[in-house]
Amino acid sequence: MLRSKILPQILNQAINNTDTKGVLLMKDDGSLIACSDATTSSHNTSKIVAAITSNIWTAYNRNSDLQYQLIDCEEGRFVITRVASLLLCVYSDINTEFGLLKLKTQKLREYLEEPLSKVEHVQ
Amino acid sequence: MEDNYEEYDNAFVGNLGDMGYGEDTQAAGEPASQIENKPKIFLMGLKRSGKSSIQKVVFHKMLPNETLFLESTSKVVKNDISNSSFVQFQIWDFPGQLDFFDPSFDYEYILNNCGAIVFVIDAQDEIIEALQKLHQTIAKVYQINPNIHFEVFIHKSDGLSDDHKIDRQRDIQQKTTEELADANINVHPSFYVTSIYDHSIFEAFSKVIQKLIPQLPTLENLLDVFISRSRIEKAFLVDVVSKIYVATDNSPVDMQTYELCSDMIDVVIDVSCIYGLKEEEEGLGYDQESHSVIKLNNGMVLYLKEVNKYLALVCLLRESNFDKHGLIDYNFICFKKAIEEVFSRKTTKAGAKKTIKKAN
Repeated sequence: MLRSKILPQILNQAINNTDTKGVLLMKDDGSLIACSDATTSSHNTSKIVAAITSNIWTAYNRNSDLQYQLIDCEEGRFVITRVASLLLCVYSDINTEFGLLKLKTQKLREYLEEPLSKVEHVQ
Repeated sequence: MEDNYEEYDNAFVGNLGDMGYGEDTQAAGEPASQIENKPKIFLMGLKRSGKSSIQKVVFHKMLPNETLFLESTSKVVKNDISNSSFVQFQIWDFPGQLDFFDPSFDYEYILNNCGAIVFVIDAQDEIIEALQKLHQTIAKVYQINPNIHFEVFIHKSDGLSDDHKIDRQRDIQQKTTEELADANINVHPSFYVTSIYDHSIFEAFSKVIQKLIPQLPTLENLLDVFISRSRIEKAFLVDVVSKIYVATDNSPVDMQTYELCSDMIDVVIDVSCIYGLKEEEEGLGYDQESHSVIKLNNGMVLYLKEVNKYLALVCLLRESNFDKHGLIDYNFICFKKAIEEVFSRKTTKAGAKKTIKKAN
């Protein structure tokens, strides 16, 4: 079982300054497992981001060998990666460099990989 | 669609302060005068034809078997369902023996903001008397307010075989249309075969209500776009309290699908009443967070989401098309936003009309 109250707190650690806007943990179909936002923006934003990013991920992940996906948008940047059976998405504003964002995602992934892979894969 | 609007405006807005829909912001306790001004639906028909039963089953969740013990209605029962439901109409239940056109009755005033008359005919009984009364009613009402919709419920169909049902409907329909044509009355009543023991009464009532909703074409279009984008088979916009569907997409309505969808609302509300409410807390067990997905063993998925205080969207889709839950949620958010816009536009339009009227 996932501890639904602890998980957002862990994700929240990635948001230590103003540049990272949010961290999401979602399933391949785009349903949110846990999320943490920098601002108190409405929960809907996270749902929308999760829906769209996971869809892009599945569209490119035809051969199941996608490691990282970096998306550069007009108003923000996204890094998506796989953690166990879930997807991890970290997004920030346009001023953050991709290297930093990717490193952050990588560290978070390393931290979450082991405990999350113990969780039974729910489809 | 424009025409529709105008007709509706002429018919009601002149006499009405309120458009007859629930808004999210609406206060619970309304002044009585405002309720009086709600558009009305009249239930008429001979005595013992099942008018009160219909009203009780559709709006009061009475079990169909219990209606056997209902007393005959002796005076006009005004039933206001506006505080609990999207369908903000007033249902007036007329006793069968009442002579509606008694000269002492101020029917002109009453008929002026009546939206529809539902005439109930007992299909298991002799229909000649009922048809006479129907004809009489239509003739009189038509003189006073030609904008009223006439709906004929061929009721208590549960006791008839399928062939018999069709015969009855054809018979009644033919006789009524002929008689109306003879009398030169340009009214085209709609006919429905109904029974309180299945969902036919809810379906028939849904159609009646839909005629009184001027935004219907817009809602249907929105639903169409929504289902084609999300690869959904069928979607209903349902009033949670009465289970009447306010709108559906353009594909034909299958009775079983509708039954399934309305049963799902029951399940969701029952479960959230038991597990969702805190102790001592009262309520319907339905709020902004209401959302449910039920996977059926025939490879279909039922999907329910809250739209507003009164309405829920219930969809049926194939499990193979349900691989992108997130995108469907996202599409739903867009759909919900559009619905909110549709209804807010309506209120401002009505408000503007009122001010113009005052200025004159």
